[in-house]
Amino acid sequence: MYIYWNYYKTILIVNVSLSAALSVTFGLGNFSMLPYIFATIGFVLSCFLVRFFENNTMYLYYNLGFSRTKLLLGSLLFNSLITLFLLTIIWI
Amino acid sequence: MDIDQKELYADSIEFSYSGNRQLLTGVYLHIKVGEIVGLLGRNGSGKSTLMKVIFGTLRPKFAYIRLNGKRVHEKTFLTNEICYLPQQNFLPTATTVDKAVRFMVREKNSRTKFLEDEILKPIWQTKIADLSGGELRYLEILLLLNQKATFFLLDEPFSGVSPVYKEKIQDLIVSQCAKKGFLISDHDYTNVLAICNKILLLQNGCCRILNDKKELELFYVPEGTFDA
Repeated sequence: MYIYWNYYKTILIVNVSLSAALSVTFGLGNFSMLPYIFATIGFVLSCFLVRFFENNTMYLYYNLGFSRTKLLLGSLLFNSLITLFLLTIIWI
Repeated sequence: MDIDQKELYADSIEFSYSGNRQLLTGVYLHIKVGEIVGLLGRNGSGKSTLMKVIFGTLRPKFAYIRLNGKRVHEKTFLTNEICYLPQQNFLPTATTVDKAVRFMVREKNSRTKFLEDEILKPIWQTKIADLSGGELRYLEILLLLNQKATFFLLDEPFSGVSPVYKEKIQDLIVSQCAKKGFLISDHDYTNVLAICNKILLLQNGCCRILNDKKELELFYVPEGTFDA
């Protein structure tokens, strides 16, 4: 779990920044779209950016016996949980 | 399985980058525990590609890989029996030595060995980005050697490393040799030859086994290089 979380942390930082910027841009100044962008395009773009800029650090995970697919699935799970949390805050 | 029965066997490895000529055409290699195999070859001969194919991060046209008697159908690194040191540094630059060790070595007892290491002790809280080339390479190799894998593919472990650190890295590899098997490739062949007990020359897409370093003069280095 620790390994999955460590991989996801890099994606999370990029995703939060990207989603906030996109949410403000397309939501005309408010953050109501943030959870939806965070769960979809923000996540996909972040995974792509992390893969592009941090490609060599993947060997860290390969050497621990983790494939990219496994790590991305773990990240998707963490991302979905955080999205649920964000949506709950908005609904309350 | 006894440690001395463990082996990495790779045969008929064929690989070509899309549209290009075939880079590897039926490579064969066999590494046992206790062996340090030096993989030599010219630039672009496919040494790194071969290591990546064996490790499982590059998909070959065909490869028969057997690890400890069992054929590997999936990516080899998923077995946790093999580690690979890439040419470029693989540790995240924003983290510290302490965090990198804690991340890669989960057992507390093994981690204390790192703290006692004379090279790592003074740089324990230093960021990876601030380490010298030699310190970083030493740390990466030490972290890999502390994994439970039996076979290690080291791609240019001596590149950009000062002579003092080269010696330390050589000592580290030799000290682990009894329990592990190594495939080492480096352009600085003198450092590889100093520790290896088997030499492979990758040439024209195939591996040639050389019996002693004098044979390198026939295929790789100028004649008279090893005249004492």
